[in-house]
Amino acid sequence: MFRTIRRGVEWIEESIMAYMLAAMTAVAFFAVIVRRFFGGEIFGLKPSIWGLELTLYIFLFFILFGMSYVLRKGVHIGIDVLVNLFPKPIRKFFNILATLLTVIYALLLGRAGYQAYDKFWSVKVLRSKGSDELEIPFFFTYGFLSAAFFALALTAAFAIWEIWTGRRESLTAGHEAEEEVDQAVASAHSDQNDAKGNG
Amino acid sequence: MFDFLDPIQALLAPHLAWVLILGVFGLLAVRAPIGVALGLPSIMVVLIKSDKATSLATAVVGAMNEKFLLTAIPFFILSSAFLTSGGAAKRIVDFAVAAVGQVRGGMGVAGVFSCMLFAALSGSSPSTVAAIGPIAIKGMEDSNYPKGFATGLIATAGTLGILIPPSIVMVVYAAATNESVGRLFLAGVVPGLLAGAMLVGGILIGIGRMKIEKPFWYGFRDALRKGVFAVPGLLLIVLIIWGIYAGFFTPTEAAAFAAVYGFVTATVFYRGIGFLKNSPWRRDGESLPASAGRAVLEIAWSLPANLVHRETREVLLNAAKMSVMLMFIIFNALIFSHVLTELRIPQQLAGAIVSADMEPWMFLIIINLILLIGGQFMEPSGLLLIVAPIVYPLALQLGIDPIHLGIIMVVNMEIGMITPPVGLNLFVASSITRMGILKVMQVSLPWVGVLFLFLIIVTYIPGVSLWLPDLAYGPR
Repeated sequence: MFRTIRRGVEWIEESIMAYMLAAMTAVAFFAVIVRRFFGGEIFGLKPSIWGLELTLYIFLFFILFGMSYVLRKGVHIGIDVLVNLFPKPIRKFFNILATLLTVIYALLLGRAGYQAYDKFWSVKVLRSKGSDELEIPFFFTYGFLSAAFFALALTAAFAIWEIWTGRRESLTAGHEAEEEVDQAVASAHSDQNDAKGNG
Repeated sequence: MFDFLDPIQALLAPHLAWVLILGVFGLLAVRAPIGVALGLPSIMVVLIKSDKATSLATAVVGAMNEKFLLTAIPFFILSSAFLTSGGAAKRIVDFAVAAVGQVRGGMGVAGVFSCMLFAALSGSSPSTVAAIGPIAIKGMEDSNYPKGFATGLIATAGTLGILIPPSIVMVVYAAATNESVGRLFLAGVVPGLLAGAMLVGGILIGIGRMKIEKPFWYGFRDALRKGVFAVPGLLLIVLIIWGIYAGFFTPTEAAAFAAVYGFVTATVFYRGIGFLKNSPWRRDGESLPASAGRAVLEIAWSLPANLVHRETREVLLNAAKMSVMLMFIIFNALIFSHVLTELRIPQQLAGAIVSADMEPWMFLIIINLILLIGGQFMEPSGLLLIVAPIVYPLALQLGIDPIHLGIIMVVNMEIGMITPPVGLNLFVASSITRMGILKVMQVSLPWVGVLFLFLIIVTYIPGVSLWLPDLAYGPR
């Protein structure tokens, strides 16, 4: 039950990330098509004016939204060479230390974001201030930034518990191609098995 | 709020540069995410200098606004995710074997050729080795090449990924230094071809009198058929370089175009993913008009439908993960280099170098060393963002062309990936071939030698990089 809900939430999270990236691509692509082939305007839309800004803001929210997910999935790269020189218990200590520092990092930026949000929300004149064309309010941008970093802090704090109980080795992958190598090794082996089966 | 920290603040305030540098190295050493390792010490420095947390948040958003070019990065990642999905590696190797397999040292040359092609599309060195390696190394072994020879060659050829355009690392360099992406892409072309040619030369010398077999020749029709499948990839490279050069689109727009192009190619043309996966262009015994009509219908319904296909979502998600991971590093590196400039560290270093009367070539050797060592540990884009703000103003003072400097930096990081003890490609090669890491280092050593020779040529003959961009844009 709990597991199903968690999977469901994760599926939604993944879909949002995937289609934010798709949306960002679509906006930028649409803008260049309209500019080059339709003289800058189609159906009364002028993406040359707001296209850049929209792309940029989707991009910004996309990164902020995806941060926690990426940390949870261990996609981030860390340097494992030095830590691996030590025996297991010390390695674990270093990994927990690194994760703890990540929590602090996220809390500091979350706090900074909150203060910026507070400034733009509590002062009446600033509340209506926003980005140049689309007028996305600043308090929303900074509120989102703050929430995203506090979520990151929670995710990292959870990872401390995971490392402590041995469910997870580290916050980071050893190197960037780890996943791809696993896949390549797996497929190379299944090829060999196929060859054996056919022979 | 944190009054009890005041004494610590007072203690650290005069030594901010050390807090920054030692903080970064300390965090890297304990296996923190690279982004955090760059970001946390920078934030600390800002907070120690003045507790203006608000300006910190504004700086984060401002950094993104300022470097609009960076939005090109997720697009290029997405484009390569599509173009390398659904068995692209096998198609590329097949094409390379058909195209150049019949020359002397055929299978080896085909291996280098397919690494270059795949690298240009994927832009990542380790994933080139991971994808092409298993197929190409096996092919070379079947042609009687020693396994070590093949492994070393492919591990080395895979590093060309970040040099051949379109290259994400070059976009990052351009964003950091406000140089022209078009010039940089063009500057990578000749060195990329030169590196390929030097590796081929290495093969010809290396095989000497070994009894090497040529791969089987299936005939001209077969080669042509495989060639058709390589066209979209090659065409994209040409379109992007030409489009940026001709001013048809900006680099960011070119990247968005590449992503859409990748989607259409992967789902409709290659049919490696999506609804048309098991539907061939022409069925057995089908007449030409019938298959053409079927193709039109299929494309019409599947193109929108494929947007929500499970495999498309998978590719999008993978690209999204890579983008967020990379951007997390990049925007922390931006904060870091901002703080670095604020502490006037580059200026102080510049002063030291000017007063030491350093020759440009000595300066280039120092850059070589820093990047070779750094390139082993760090993701190239992050490293570039750290080193470029320090090195760039110095290079200008010493009269080194910034485009040339960019190419030198890229080549250095390439070699960093294959140099012992911790080059990334070595580990990838070791795990796909199940050879020990020491053995892989040993067999790649001659090839690393070739790359070093290449580095020396690129570093000390600026014309290799600058000839093409100067020809296209005119000298500066």
